[in-house]
Amino acid sequence: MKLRALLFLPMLLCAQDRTEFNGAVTTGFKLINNRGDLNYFRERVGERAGLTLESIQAGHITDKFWHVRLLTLLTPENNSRVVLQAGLAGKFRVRLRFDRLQTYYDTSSTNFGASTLSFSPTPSQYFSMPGDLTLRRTTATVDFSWRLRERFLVRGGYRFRRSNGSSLQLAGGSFFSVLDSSLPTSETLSAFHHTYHLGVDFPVGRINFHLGGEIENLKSRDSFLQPQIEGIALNRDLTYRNETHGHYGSATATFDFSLGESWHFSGGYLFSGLRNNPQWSRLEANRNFGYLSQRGDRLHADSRFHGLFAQALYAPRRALAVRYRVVQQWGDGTGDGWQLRFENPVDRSLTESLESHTSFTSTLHREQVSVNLYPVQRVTLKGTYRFDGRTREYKNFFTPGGLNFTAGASIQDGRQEADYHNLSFEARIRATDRVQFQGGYGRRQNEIREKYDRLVRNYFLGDRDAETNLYRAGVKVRTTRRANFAFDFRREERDYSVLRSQNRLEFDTYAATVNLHPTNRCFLFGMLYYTSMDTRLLGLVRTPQFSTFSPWEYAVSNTGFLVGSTWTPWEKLTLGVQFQQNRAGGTESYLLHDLGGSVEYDLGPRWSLGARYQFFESNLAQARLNNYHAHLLQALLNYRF
Amino acid sequence: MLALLAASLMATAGKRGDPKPSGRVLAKVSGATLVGSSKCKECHEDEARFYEGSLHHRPFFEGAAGCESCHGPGSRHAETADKAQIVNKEDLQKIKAQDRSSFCLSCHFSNLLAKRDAFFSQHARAEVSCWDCHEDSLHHLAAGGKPQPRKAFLPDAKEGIVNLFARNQNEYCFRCHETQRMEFALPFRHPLERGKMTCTDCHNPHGDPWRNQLVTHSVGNEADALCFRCHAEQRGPFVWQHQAVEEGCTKCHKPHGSPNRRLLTVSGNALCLQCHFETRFPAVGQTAHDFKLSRRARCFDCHIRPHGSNVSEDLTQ
Repeated sequence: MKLRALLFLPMLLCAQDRTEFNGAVTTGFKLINNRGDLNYFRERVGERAGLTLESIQAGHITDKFWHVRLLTLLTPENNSRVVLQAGLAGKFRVRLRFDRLQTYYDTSSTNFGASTLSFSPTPSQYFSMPGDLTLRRTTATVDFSWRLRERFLVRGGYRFRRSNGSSLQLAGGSFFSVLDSSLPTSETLSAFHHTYHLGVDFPVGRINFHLGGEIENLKSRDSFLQPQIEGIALNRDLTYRNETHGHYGSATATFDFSLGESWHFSGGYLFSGLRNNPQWSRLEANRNFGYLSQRGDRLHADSRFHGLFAQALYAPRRALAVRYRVVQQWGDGTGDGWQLRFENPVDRSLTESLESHTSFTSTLHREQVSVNLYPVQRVTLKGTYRFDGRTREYKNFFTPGGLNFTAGASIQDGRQEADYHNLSFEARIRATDRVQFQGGYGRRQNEIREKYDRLVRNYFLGDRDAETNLYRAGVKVRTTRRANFAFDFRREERDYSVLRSQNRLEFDTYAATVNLHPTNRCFLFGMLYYTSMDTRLLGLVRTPQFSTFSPWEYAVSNTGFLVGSTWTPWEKLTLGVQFQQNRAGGTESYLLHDLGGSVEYDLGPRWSLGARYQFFESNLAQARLNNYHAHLLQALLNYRF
Repeated sequence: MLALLAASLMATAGKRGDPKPSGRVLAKVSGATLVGSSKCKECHEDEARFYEGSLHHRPFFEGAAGCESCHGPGSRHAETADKAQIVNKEDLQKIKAQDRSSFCLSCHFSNLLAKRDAFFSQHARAEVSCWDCHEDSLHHLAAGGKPQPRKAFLPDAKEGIVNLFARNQNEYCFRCHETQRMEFALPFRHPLERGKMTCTDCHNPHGDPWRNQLVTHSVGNEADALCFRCHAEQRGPFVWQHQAVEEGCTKCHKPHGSPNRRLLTVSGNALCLQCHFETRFPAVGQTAHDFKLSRRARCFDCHIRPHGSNVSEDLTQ
C-alpha cells in the first residue's frame, strides 16, 4: 500500500502541470534448489527464492521545471531501497532515502578443534547451527536544501541508522564449549543513531561562508550468553551485557574566496564534543548449584575536540599549482578511571573521536606544502612535504611524483611508540594512452623495544626489530580500443627478529585481468589471481600431543580465475555467461565453483523478458559437512512506460 | 625542486596571454555570428526535440545561447552545412578534459570548493570530463525516437534485466574501471548486483579531496568514517578497540570483493598473523598459544570481538 502511494506521489505532486512521466518496472521470480549446507550458501550467495521487485524507476518533469524521481527495490532476501527526490530547479531540493540490507553470517565451525590425538578434525566437531547471525542494517535519511536567494542556501536533514540482529553461534571464549552442541552461544545486538544537521551557505562580499551543526544521539546494546563446561563445579552460564549511551555534537564554520583567477583561500574552525556513558555487566549462573553472581561497572566519559585549518592555493594557469595547508587540532577529555587503548585520540576523525581518555590534553600541528608542475604535456612533477607534529609522533614526507609520469621517493621518519623509518621508491609511467608501467620498492624498519614483566613459557622476550620489504610491479596495456590487459604483482616479506632469527612471513599477490571487445556487441573479460601467505618458524614448538616438539608452519594460498562474456547477436537478444573457480590450499583449503548464464529478449519498445541461471558449488577439502551445490533460476519481466 | 619550479615558470610564461580554454574553442570559426537555436532546429530536429523536454531546456535555451553555448557561433555552418564550420564533436574531444568540463562547470557547482575539487579531481586529471559519463543526457535519443532526457538520473531500465554482471549507473564506472568489475564478481563482495548498492554510495565521481574520491564528511581517517555509515555497529566506541580498526578498515577488509569470507584480505589465521606473528610465536603478547594453534583453532574462535570490546582487553568477550 505504501509502495503504491509512493508510485503515485510524483503524479500527485505535479497534477496541475503538463505531465511528462516515464520510467520502468522490473520484476521477477527466483527458484533455488540447494543441496548441502544452507547456512554457508546463504552467507556466500545471499539469495533466496521468491517473488522479487527488482526495481521501479520513475521520473517526472513539468513545464514549471519540477523534477521528481523514484527508485525502489524489494527482494526476497529482505533487502529494500526507496529513493525519492523532488525539486524545483535552482530553488530547492528534497531527498528521502530508505535502505535496508540484511546480511547473513554463517557461524558454523569448519576448522575448529582437532581431536585430542590428531591434527585433523573429526566430523563430530562440525556444526551447522540454525539461526546464525542475521544482521539487519537500516538507514533512513531526509535531506533538503533551500536556496532563499541566489547565493543564500539553507540545508539540513535527519538521519536514522539502526543495526540489529540475533544469533546462535558456536564461537565463544570457552575452548570446550563446542563439545556440547546443546549449549549454543547466543547473541543479540542492537544499535541506533539519530542525527540531525542544519547548515547555511551565504556570501559576504566576495567571501563565501559555510556554517553547519550536527547533533547525534547514539545507543547500543549487546547481550551475549555463553554456556561453559569446565567441570561440574564450573558448569555455568555467563551473560555479558554492554550498553553505550551517548550524545555527540559538532559545529563547523568555514570560508573560501578567490583573488583573481590564481589565488584561492579557504579556512575554518571545527568543534565536536561527546558525552558517553558505557556500562557493562557479567551475570554468572551455575547450572548445578544455582548460585548467581553479578559484577559490572558504569563508566562515564566526556571529550572535546577543536580544529583550525587554513589553506592557500596558487594556480596560475595550468602549469603550476602550489598548495599550502596548515591544521591545528587540540582536545581534552575526562573519564571515570578506565584506560583507553589509544594514546592519540585527537588524531582521529570526527566520527571516531568518540573515545575518551582518563584525562589528556594534546595538540597536533600539521603542515603540508605541495607543488605540482605540468611543464609539458603528459608530464606532471609533484613535490610534497608534510609534517605531523605532536608530543609522541612526527612524520616527514617528501614525495615527488605525478600522474602521467611518476618516479619518486618517499622518505618517512616517525615515532609511534617506537622509532620507524620508511623508504619507498615508486615509478609509474603512462608511456602512451595505451601502455602504463608501474613498479616500486619499499622498506620499513621498526625499532621496537618490548619490555615484559614476566616470561611466557620458555620463549625469550626482549628487544626486537621488525623489517618489511615490499616489491611491486605492474603493467597496464590497452593494445587497441578493443582490448586491454593488466598485471599486478606484489610481494611482501617481513622478518621479526631477536638477534636475527630466520622466522619469516611472506605474502605474495599476483593478479591479471584481460578485457576484450572484439566487436561493438561482444565483450569478453577474464581475471586470474593468486595470493599466498607463508609463515615458518625456524625453531621447534611444543605441541599438546604428548608434549612433543615439532616445527610450526602455517601456509594458505588462494588461486582463482574468472571468465565471462556478454554478447548481443542482434538488437533484440542479449546473452551473458560467466564461470569462476576459487581454490584455497594449505592449512585451510576449499574449492568454490560458480557458473552462470543469462538471456534477455526485447518483445517490443515497452516489454522485455529475461532469465538467468546460476550454479554454485562449494567443496571443503578437510570435511564435507559444509559443502553445498545449488541451482538458481530466475525469470524477469521488464516494462517501460 | 627550485630548479623544476623555475623551469616550469619559464615554460608557462608564454601562455599567460591565452584566452580561456572554452573561449578559445568557441572562437574556432572566425567571422561567424550567433544565429539562435531555432535555426539549428531546422536541420537537427531530434536534438531539438530532446532538449524541449529536458532539464537543460530552460537554463540553456531560455537563459543562454542554446546550442551555440557549446558549439560556438553557427552562421557559417548554417550557410554551408559544413561540419568543419562549427565546433563539432571532434573539436570538443580534442581539448583537455578540464576544458571540456569547464563548459558545464560554468553553471554547475556554484560552490567554489566543489568546483575546485571537480576541476582538480583524479577524474579530471585522468582526462575524464563531465561528458564521458553524461553524454547520453546531452544528445542521445531512444531507438523509438522518444526523447529520454531523464537518462542522466534514470539509468537505462533495460540494463537491470540484461546483464548478470553489471547494472545501472555502475556500468558507467566499469567502462574504465574494469579491474573493479572483476572484483565485484568475486565470491564475496559488496552487493552491487541487482541494485542494492552503487559505486556512488562510496565514491564521488565529481571529485572529493579525499583518497580515491571517497564520499565522506570527516577530517581524519576518512575511509573508515565512510564504512561506519552503514556498519555502525563496528564503530563503537569501545573501551578496548582493536588497533587494526584505528589503522583503517582496509587493513583487514577488501572493500570491493574478495575470495575470502567477510571480504577479508587473506583467509583464516593468516589475517591475524600478519601483525601477530612475533619472534616468540606461538606466544602472542604475553600468552602462549601453542596448545590451541597446533590444534588448528582459528583466532576468531576465541577472539570473537575483532573490532573492539568494552569488557575484555584481549577481545574475547
